[in-house]
Amino acid sequence: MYSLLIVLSVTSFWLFSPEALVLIGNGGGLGTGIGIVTLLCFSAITFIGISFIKDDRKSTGQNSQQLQKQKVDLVSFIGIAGMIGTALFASTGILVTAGFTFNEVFYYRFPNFAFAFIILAAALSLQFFPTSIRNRILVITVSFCFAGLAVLVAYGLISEPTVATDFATENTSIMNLLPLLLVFVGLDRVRALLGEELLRFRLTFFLTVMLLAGWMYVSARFVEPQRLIFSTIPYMTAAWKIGGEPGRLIMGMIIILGSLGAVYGLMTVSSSSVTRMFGKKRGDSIGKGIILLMAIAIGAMMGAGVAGTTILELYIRSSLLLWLAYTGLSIFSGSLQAIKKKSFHAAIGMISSTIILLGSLAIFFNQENVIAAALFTVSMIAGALLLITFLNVIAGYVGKNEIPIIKNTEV
Amino acid sequence: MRVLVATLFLMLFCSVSSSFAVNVDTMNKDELKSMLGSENVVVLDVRAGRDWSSSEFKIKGAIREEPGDVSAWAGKYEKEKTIVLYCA
Repeated sequence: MYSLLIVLSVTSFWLFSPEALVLIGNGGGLGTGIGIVTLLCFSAITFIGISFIKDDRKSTGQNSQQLQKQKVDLVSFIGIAGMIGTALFASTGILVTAGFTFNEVFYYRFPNFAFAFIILAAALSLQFFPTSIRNRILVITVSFCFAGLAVLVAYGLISEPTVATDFATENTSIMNLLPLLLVFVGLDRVRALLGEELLRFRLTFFLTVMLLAGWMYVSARFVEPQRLIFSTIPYMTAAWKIGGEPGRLIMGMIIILGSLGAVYGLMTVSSSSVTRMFGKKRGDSIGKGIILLMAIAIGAMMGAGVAGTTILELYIRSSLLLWLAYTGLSIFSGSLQAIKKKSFHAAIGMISSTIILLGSLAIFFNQENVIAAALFTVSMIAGALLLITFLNVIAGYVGKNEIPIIKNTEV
Repeated sequence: MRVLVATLFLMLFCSVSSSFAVNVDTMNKDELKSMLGSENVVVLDVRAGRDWSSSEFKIKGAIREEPGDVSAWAGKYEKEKTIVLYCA
């Protein structure tokens, strides 16, 4: 059971974040049936698609130098840019949201700004804790999110609805539902990090998606569609409508703990996207350094008031889309290899990658400020290129005697 | 509401550049509280980004305006009235 909860904590690091809950809440306002069907379809498309992504460390039998050469291509830069961009900008927004939540739900005398820094410090500290302690904390964190949301969903299901759920609004369209794809961003890295825990990964992912679909349903039972669609905190509105003040308190805890899990997860995943290119010895030291630098950058952005600007949302959305595009391209690449092996299932991977790639493009061009988003995207990819170049130089000094982590005898 | 009243005040102009550029009067939460509801007071919520989108509350009767687009809405309000802006 404990190991299942550990896997749950990895699987759900992004799914319980405020960002994901906003997407789900907004989606629920577009129509309960179509919203849930779309959410489930996107979860299945992503889940099936990522099974085509090749785990380069397990299957190629390359040493780290060969791996390094293989990985440094445009697709990798897109992935690194997306992951680090998300870790930096989404974390900044998420932390500020957690600060406001604590201030407004629990204790108004405590500055939201200070609480955001406390969560950042906690997420950073977790990185340096012994694995056993870290796992316990993450298990408690995610278990509360899961259980808290389950309680709200159950209460919402047994209570009399206050809003008719068989609606469709003028906003209901596939274009407006496409952002639900972003709920499943990062699933590729989750699967890679979990490695052999495939069965538990499948189970925890399935349970979490069902829970989120349930949350979308009960949100629509209690909050008017137009309010859900345009709300920036649909989760809190729904929690209050469903459970009153206790519901609000539960959701407050979910947001705070979910924020901690999300920021920790984003740091871990984004740093691992870089360090896997450098082998274990150099990768570990580089990884810690990257995480520390990211925390400093996030703190600096919060201190500079970036969260109080409208441009932050564009940065977050663009970073997520880069990551989503990377996932789509990785699935496409894996499917091509499957075709070469004349695998019948390759067609499924091609369909999955096509939907993800077209979806990410459609979301990108449906933004208000496409030019600014494009400039940001190019800048992030260029930044990833510079980062890897810089780290290659540094790593050359750090680990000249590195032992390759991958044996050539492995298949 | 207590949350707002407690943290309210203000920073009526948190834009440093604006504060340096012109001499703007400020008021504390008690002053504003006593004026709320008056026809001669217009309260504008000029919070931006997550400061606005993550918050559940706003001052009763406050009108939301985009802080980066002052010229678009500045002319809408009578200059004879007391216009109170808050951004946090």
